[in-house]
Order: sequence, then C-alpha cells, then structure tokens
Amino acid sequence: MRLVLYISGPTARSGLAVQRARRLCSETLAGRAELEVVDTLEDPQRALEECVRVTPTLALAGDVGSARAPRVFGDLDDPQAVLSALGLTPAGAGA
Amino acid sequence: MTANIEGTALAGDTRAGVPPSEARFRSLIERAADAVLVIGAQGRVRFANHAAQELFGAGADAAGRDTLAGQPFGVPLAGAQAAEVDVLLPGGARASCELRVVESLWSGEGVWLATLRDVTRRTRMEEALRESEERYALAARASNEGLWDWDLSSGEVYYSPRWKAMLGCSEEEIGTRPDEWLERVHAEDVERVRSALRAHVEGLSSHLEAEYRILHRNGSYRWVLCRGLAVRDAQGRATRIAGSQGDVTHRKLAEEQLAHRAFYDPLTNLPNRALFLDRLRHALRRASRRKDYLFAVLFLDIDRFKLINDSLGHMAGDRLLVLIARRLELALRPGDSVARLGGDEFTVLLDDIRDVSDATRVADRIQRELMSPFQIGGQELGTSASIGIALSATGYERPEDILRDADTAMYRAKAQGKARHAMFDTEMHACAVALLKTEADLRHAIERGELRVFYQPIVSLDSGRISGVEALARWIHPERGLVPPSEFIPVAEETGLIGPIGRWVLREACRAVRSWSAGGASDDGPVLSVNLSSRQLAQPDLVAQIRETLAEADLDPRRLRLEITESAILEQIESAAATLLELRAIGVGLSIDDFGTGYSSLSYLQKFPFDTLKIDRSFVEVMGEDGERSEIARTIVTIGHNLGKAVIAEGVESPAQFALLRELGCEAAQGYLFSRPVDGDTARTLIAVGTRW
Repeated sequence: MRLVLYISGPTARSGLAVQRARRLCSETLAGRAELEVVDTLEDPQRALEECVRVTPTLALAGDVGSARAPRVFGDLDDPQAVLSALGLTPAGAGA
Repeated sequence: MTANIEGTALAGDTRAGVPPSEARFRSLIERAADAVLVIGAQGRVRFANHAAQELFGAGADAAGRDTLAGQPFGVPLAGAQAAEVDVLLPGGARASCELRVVESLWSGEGVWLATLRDVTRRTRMEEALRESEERYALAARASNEGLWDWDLSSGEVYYSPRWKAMLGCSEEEIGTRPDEWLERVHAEDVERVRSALRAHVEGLSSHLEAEYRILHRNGSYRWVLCRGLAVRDAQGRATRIAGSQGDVTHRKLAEEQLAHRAFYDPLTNLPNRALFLDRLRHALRRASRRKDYLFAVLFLDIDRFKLINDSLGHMAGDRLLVLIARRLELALRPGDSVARLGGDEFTVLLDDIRDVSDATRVADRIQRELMSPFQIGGQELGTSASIGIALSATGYERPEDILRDADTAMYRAKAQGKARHAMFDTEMHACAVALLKTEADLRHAIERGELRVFYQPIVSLDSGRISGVEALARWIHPERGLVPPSEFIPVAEETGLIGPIGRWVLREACRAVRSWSAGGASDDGPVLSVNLSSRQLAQPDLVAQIRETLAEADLDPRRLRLEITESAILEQIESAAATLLELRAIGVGLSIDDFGTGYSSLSYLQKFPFDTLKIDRSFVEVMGEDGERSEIARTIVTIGHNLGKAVIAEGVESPAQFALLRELGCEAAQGYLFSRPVDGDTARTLIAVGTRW
C-alpha cells in the first residue's frame, strides 16, 4: 500500500504534514504503507493531473491518477480521523 | 459537529428532522464571504460558492455550471481549530488559507462544509517577520553575538551555539531553562537583569537592554550587552522574547580604565585631587554629624624636588615620586588615604584621629620614611618634605577650604626651614581671611574708582631731564588707605583680576600721558612704561587691545614701552615670541624688567625683540660710594649695549649711584633720588617745568 502526500514547498506547514504522514505510516499502520511525498511546486503538472488543488493532501494511491482514489486534505494531526476518511483501519484492528 | 455558517444555526433543523430548504441553504452559502465547498461522501465537490470559484480561479463554465463540482478534493479534515492549508492557484502561486470543517446535510445526504479563508496577507507578514528575524540572526552571527529565544508559554529558552560558546560551554552543557542564563549572571547584576526583563515583558520598556557580568566556564566574569524584543499577542501579552548577547568586556575594561584615570594619578596610581576632594567631602559630612569625629589633612611638598628633577632628569624625578608614594602608603594607618595633587605635592587624609598629636606623629613618621635613602639611577637620595597640617576642628564646610589651609601651613613649614611640619593656626587663618578679603575688595576696586595710576619719572642720564615715566598702579582702599602693590598685585595675578586691572591702567596712563602734551604732536613727550604680566601676555587679543587703547588716546605707539619680566616670558614662551614681534611691528617699545634676577638667558635677549633692558634694583642698591660691587651692573650694561639694547637702571637712591651709572654708559635711571612715584598732576608739573638733575 502506498500513500501519496502532496505538499507546497519547504515550509513549516509542509514539514509538519510530512512528519505526521510518516508517523501514520510507521506507527498507526505499522509500516504497512509506504509514503511518497510530492511537492506541487516542484511537480505542478502532476498536481494538475491528479486534481490536487489544496495541500497538504494525502491520497491512497491504489489507483494512481484515478480521481476515485480516497484522499483527505487539511489537518493530518488525528491519525484515526485520517484513516477512517481514507477507509483504512489501523494496524492490529484487523485489515 | 454542528453546522454553523456565519453564525446562522442550521443544525437545529437537521436534528429536528426537518430538512432545511436547500435553496435557502444554498443562497446562504453563496453569499458567504469565505470560500465554501460542499463535499460529499466520496470527497467530491457537490457545490462551491462564488468565493470558492474566485479562490480556485475556476469560475463557471460557458453553460454557467460550477466547474469545481465533481472535483475529487478528498475529505476535509480540521480539528477543533482551523487547519492551515495551501490552495494551488492557476498561475502556480499558492494562497494560504484557514480551513474549517463542519458536517451537515445536503439534499438529505451527509456532507462536509469546508470553508477556506484566505490569510495569505497575514501569512506574508509573518513570513516577512520570520525573514527579518533570520536576517537578524545572520547579522548577529556575523557580529559574533549569541542568540536566545525565550518561549514564555513553555518557559523554555533556546540558547544558540554561539551564546554557549561565549561562556566557554559546549552545546550540551547548557540546557533550555531560563536559569541556565540567570544563574550565571553576577549576583550584583542579576536583580537589574530580572527587572529589565520584567519591565519589557510587562510592556513598560520599548526593548530590553542590559549590561551585566556573566560567569564564564573558566570561573571569570565577562561583561555582556544583552538586547531583546518581546513578541506580543493580540492582547499585547508577551508570548516570546528573543534577542542577542554580545561580549563587551574589552569596551568595559577600557571604560573602567578611563574612569580610573579620572580619579587616579597615572604616575603613582594614587588618588588624584578630584578623588581626594571627594573623600574630604565625605569626612566633612561625617564630622558635621558626629561631634567627636576629628580628622586632619596633611599637605606635603617635597623639599628640593625641582633640584633633583633638574639635575637627574625628569625620569629620575618621576621614579622618585613613585617611590615616595609607596613610602607614604607605608607610613599611614589603614583607613587613611594619600593622594598626589600634581608635581611634588601630596596630600594625606588622617581619618578619625583623637587629637593633634596623632597628626603630628604621622607627620614625623612620614619624615622618617622619606629620610631613609631612595635608590635612583644608581644613586642614593634622601629627601624630606615640608608638611602643613589642618584639622577638621576648625569647622570647615568645603573640602577646598581645609585643603587650602593645609597648603598655607605647608608654606609656613617651608619658610621655617625644610623637613618640618606646621599646623594651620588662627594667625594663618586671619592672614588667609585677609587675603580673601583683599581679593573680594579688589574685585570692586575698579568700578568704585579706588585704583589710581602713579608715575615715576625716568631720567635720561645724558640730559638729566625726564625722558619717560613708569606707570604704577596704586590702590586707595576706603578703610586701609594706600595698599602697596606688593600686597594686591600678587592677589590680582593669582585671581586673574590682573587682566581688567592691567587694561584699566594702560588706558588710564595712555590717556594721562597724552594729555600732558595736549596740543603737541602725539609722538612728542615722555615715553610711558607700563608693566605687562604673564597673564596679560597670554591674552590672545593683547595686540588688538593695545592698538585700540593707543588709538583711543591718540598716543603714538613709539611712546609706549611695555615692561615684561623674564619669568613672564618663560611662562608663555611659545606664544610670547609672536605677540612681542607684533607689538614691535606696530612700534611699541619692549623692555625686559628686573633683568638679572631670572634666568638672564642671553638667548632670550636675542630671540625676543626687546629694545631696552632694565637692571634690577638689587644690583643698583648694592653699588657703594666708591664704585665697589658694581660689577654686575657693569656687566649688564655691557651685555645690553653689545646686543644693541638701551639700559635703564631702577632703584637709584644716591648721587654716587647716579654718577656711576652715567659713567657706565647707562641710558636712563629711575629711583627715589629723582622722584618717588607721584600722581598724574605732579608728574605733569615735573615735566612741564623741565626739572633737571
């Protein structure tokens, strides 16, 4: 499983989002997911193609490029909220 | 979470099972100032209001449909507070927005209402602030200052590596507690630092600035200058305070040295006059509070110091002064203080003595200390001092007064023979008071018209007739009568009153002398001799003054001769030459007064443009009936003539002296033989009748 995090530039906001997304992958999902970080400033084309209009956006890359892929945007502070919005369950809760 | 948009309660309707009117809801959202996205279960946009279209630059398509609709934004997440997000703008720019999320119902379907408020402006300002802080940090790093940043809510302080290094500490050795800083501040300074911090945090000061000592790891204290600025919230409460700390030890030491120099004599490192007077002031204050408190001031002048300086050189003289300073310190009790006033003058403050004998005992001890030989440049030198003593019992108010009295007593000791001490007593006091009274009276003498100019005729030895007069100031005191010049001229010299008095005498004499030959040509008549003191010689406008006075009186400059003593020239040696040349240039005659009593250096005679020299009366007075003891007068006349100067003798009292001087070829003479100094009318008569000797 792969998660894609879209951020905008090397800002404190981006840093915080990366940190939280990493923790989500390594702790909450116990390493079941790997994380890809996309900086929309570096790769605006991809943001456009993947219809990302707000950052930070965290998407489940099940079907890359597909608009159907579940995603969240905004505050990634609460891992439970993120997971449920993405339709995932935490590690140990039975996938 | 309840749906609450712009303060309008909508949730109540859903809870009550009454579906809100979608049209009404829609129009409410549409009118909202913030961008609002209605996001459905799949994270797709169901509806975007006008502000949202604007924000995302989407706009409606040709058919007027919302182009954001159906876009897969995803599920909006925001905690209790707004989340911060970036909105990607069409041109590639980013807008910083606050995201708030509420759940609601939309056409019976559960949706999220995501509102986005553009805070780019605010964020830019924060970034600008951060940038300026970063620039400041860079500047601080360049200037070698340490940085600190105190988060007042967490109570943690960030200390930069440089901050720590300045105190000799490594990164790990200093944590994040405020006490890491404050506990290192010197005990005498820490309260000041704390209150400066407090004042700034409370908004009482515009910025934090404090200088204090802080403990270095090596145990020494460094002087540092700390500057800081608080960051405040909307209510003005400080949330953070950050700043820099720079090492100013070098500057501080330099300042201390300057301060030291202001109060200590650099040669001996003893207190100087200023500090000594300050200590005297304290002692006087104590004396005024405590009846039983007595102190004494000793005024020391090293005997024959000038001789040592002249014969062994200034280096040796300075060395001797330093050694004397150390000996004086040895002779004193703890609590006493010794100072060097300048030259070879030292003063001692004897604190809390029982009676006079304590003071005289110390004076004796000092004499003994000075008597045992000093090693100066391979030579053994013994010395002594004349010591004047003044006691606080006399009831002084000003420190200068007791010092002055000790000085007066010192002169008495010196006059009585060297290596002695003398107490300042009431007789000396009376004398000093009389002197002060003289000074006070003299100040008013001119304006009250108590000064007179007397004239002593100067007789040409060739013709036996009066060729000139010497103007002499006389003071007719309303109570004391005629005050001799020997009593008031020194006072005038010392107080600077000689300036106005000298000017007045010059003007008065020029006017008088001119009036004697009224009707005659301005260059016809006796030459007027006027004394010029060293103070007058030092006046920068002297030449202009004299020129003006002559013009006023309509007196030809050639009829004025200024008499100047050798010592007066020596005191002004740098400026005198130019002034004298100028005076000569306008035609004024110049005479060396009292020749033979001073240095009598021939080089001065040549260097300065004198046309006359005056043999001091002491060489004339000793000349006997048969021409004995006239060698000096003869020599002076010869020197004068060889150098092309005219010679005038003063103090001529006998016909024999007159004859002898004439035989020596002396040009002119004055003295009681011819006339005492007389008032202006008498002088005019003497000249008018053509008196001849």
